[in-house]
Amino acid sequence: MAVNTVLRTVKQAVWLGWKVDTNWADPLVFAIYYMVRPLAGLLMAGFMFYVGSTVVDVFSGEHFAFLLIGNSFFIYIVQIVMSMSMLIHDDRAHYEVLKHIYLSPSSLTWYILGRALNGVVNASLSLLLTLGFGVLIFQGILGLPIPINWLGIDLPMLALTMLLGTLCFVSLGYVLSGINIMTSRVQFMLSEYVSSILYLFGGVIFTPELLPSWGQTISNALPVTYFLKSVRFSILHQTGGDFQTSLMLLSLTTLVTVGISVGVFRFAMHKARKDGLIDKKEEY
Amino acid sequence: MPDYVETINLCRTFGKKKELVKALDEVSISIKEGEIFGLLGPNGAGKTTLIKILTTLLLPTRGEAYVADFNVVKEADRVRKIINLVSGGETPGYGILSVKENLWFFSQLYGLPSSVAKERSKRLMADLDFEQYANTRMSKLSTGYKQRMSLARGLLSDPKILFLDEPTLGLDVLTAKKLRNYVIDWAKRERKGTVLLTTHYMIEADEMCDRVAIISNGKILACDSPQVLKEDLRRTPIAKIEVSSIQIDFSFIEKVKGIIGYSETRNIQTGVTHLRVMVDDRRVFAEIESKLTEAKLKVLSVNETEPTLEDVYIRLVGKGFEEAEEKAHA
Ligand SMILES: Nc1ncnc2c1ncn2[C@@H]1O[C@H](COP(=O)(O)OP(=O)(O)OP(=O)(O)O)[C@@H](O)[C@H]1O
Ligand SMILES: [Mg+2]
Repeated sequence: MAVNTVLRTVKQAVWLGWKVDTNWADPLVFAIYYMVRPLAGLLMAGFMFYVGSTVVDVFSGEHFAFLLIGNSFFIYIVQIVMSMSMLIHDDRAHYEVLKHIYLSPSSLTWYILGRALNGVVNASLSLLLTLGFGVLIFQGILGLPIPINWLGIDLPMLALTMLLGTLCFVSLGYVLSGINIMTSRVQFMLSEYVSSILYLFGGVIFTPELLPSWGQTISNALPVTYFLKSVRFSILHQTGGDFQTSLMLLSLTTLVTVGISVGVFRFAMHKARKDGLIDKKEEY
Repeated sequence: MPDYVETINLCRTFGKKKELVKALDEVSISIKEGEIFGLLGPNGAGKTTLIKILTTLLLPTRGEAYVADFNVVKEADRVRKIINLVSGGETPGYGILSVKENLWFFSQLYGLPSSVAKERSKRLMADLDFEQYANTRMSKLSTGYKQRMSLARGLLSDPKILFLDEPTLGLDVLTAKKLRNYVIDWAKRERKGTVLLTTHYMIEADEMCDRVAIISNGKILACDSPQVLKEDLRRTPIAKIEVSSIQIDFSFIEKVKGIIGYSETRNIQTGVTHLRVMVDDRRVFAEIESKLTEAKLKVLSVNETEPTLEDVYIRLVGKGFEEAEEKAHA
């Protein structure tokens, strides 16, 4: 497919995503989806930690920073994966346009990429807002000491980590899109399951070393583990392994995820045409 | 003129061995450039399946299909550049976008330069009489206007071949007529486009199509111009019989000797059933009438009539569309 066709498709999908998100009739839904929900998650985890640790009088600012960063950047992941998981269902069953996109000269693959980029922008927004409000509430209002030197962040490393992570989670989104093409009405369940697994084993609010050994094995196989590790290295300079290894493992697991996503998505597209799933109606 | 759309022994099955459905069974048709070709058949005949294969949405189980000389299986990319599809009774785009925004989005999937896209959507909206809704959210449109927008979306890319899957499904008579005329205009005068239309409305096939293929249970039973198909029935007597009951099961008339086939339409408002009966000899009509009277039914009128495409179908299958559908659902 010609490069300009690809660019045009991606651009149009981004435009559409933007239109859908900022749909004026639903500003409330937009706010809830991108702000309230992620923030609520953070506040819940944050307060539980705060209350729990003050009761037994072991509050550690270091640990709190660990949790804040983990939670905020995990929201970035969930936001990307969730939005990509909803996409196929919405376009196929709700708007009934998937088949018209599919049978146009633009490819569905690039269309999905465009919508994913849109998801990345939204996810970044959520991330910044959550982080910002988190600091404002816990440090600014409650006066907790959060030992983050915002000027000391290793920006190049953080950028590299974000780039790899984004590639990885967009690929994961393609896997979910592929599964959604082949099934119907599992989109909610699927993204919930996937994000729960990542939450539990990815070292979001506690280090994976606290998991039982089988849990650690799972954790070691997940790119999210290395993503969060690398993020913490570049922001908190927390030790416990070295940065290079973490980045390398992130690259490796990302590569594997990309490979899997190409395989799954291609298989799904083939199956979709073989079984006529592109315009499948939902059976109730 | 070359054949523009062609299928060769096209087969498509669904399901596994025990419940195998033959949606298409050795379908071979060829459509010429500039032709409006109709596929007429009852529910479940295989019309949509054929359209899905030709529009690259579905792979055939066996056989070949070509659109403008491109193999739909192997050269889907080439096919997609020159086709478009409009289906009846569907949402024509994103409900949350305005009509104009929707058209813009689809025009960009086809890579139209923005001036062309704008100019063309404006003209289509004007021609199909919905420019007053250009800035209305698509979800707010009524069924008829949604369908106008659907057609506009299909024509926006200026396809060489337009596929229409029951384009007037559920529309009021006037809107349906407007859309039909617009498609005829588009195909015949303006663009010389080729159209493949599926329908189970007889008049639609009759009014619009240069040629019609009658399809039932995945098989093409006949294919010719509506005139020729009906001409073949000239010597077969056909009568419209009005009976003042809508409750009764009329299948007992099948037993009358000399009856070729019949169809029934029940009018709930008037309480009258219209039977369309095809026989091999005029004298059979009297026989039928007496059978109806024997069954304590009041026969309001018996009138001989000209053949329609439905009669062609009855001749081939022995039943009208509705009866065939009832049977398929039973
Ligand atoms: N995805 C599918 N899975 C299983 N069976 C299918 C599928 N699609 C179609 N069929 C079956 O194939 C047959 C032909 O269906 P098709 O939709 O092509 O009919 P149609 O002529 O378009 O009917 P209608 O007038 O109701 O639209 C039917 O028996 C239908 O149940
Ligand atoms: Mg159909």
